Amino acid sequence: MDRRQMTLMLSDKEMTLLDQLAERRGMSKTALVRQALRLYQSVTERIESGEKVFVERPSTKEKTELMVL
Amino acid sequence: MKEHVGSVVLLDRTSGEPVAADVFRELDDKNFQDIETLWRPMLQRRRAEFPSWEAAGGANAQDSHWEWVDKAKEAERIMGRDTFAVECDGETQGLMLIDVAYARLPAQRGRELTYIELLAAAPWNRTKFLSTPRYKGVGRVLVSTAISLSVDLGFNGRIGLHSLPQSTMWYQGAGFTDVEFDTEKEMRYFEMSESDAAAFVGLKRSTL
Repeated sequence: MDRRQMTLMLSDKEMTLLDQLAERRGMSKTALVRQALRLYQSVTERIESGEKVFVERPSTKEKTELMVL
Repeated sequence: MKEHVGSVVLLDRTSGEPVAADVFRELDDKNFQDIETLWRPMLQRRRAEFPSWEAAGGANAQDSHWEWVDKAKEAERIMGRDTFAVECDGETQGLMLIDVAYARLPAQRGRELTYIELLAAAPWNRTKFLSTPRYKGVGRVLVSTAISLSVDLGFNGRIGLHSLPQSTMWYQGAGFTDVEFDTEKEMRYFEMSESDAAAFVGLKRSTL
């Protein structure tokens, strides 16, 4: 796959979060950003097409709408 | 845009000789043409020989309704979705559509994995579909490709899929773990852990 390089400027807080999430997910920071982008595209397309995105608690089936600004 | 991702070897079942094949990422018009003019008529004819979808599993024809062209075109614009083709002799010998999902095996639950949404060998390569299928190894090449992609994406080789009833024995034999019957999809769900995937790739090298 063709890949391009870019420099990403993050605050300390953002970088700490990126480090922590990469550690928790067992992925590199690049892999994590790639997955975040994929999720963001998926959520954006659904919202732009008029759908709502929910998070469901399996035990109670309680649903919470995911708000994306 | 279609991209060559690797050269592989299939086995000619008639001659017993290895033959060179190629794996491509993203399907093109030639693949679509093969699907519509070669795959679909063969699959639909074979499926029509059986009274039910369940019975069609006896000839490995339960996927005759899969809409490869529509799915492949949709995948082109969605990040995380990819299509792959195995080609040999100028024809499409196998196809795979992948996505990203989350693991269900307890040891890796919630971790990202490469999810094989669709995987099929060309009808003429299938045992039970024909008495003398042409090439062996297409399924293994595609599963290996999914594992490679999983590693490339940072998922350490983890892969998962829902299996048609006709294919469950193949996936079990290949080293997938039969995780559960998914009541939403009404299909069995299988998964490979990182170590399962490493073992599969090693197995593939020794058997192809």
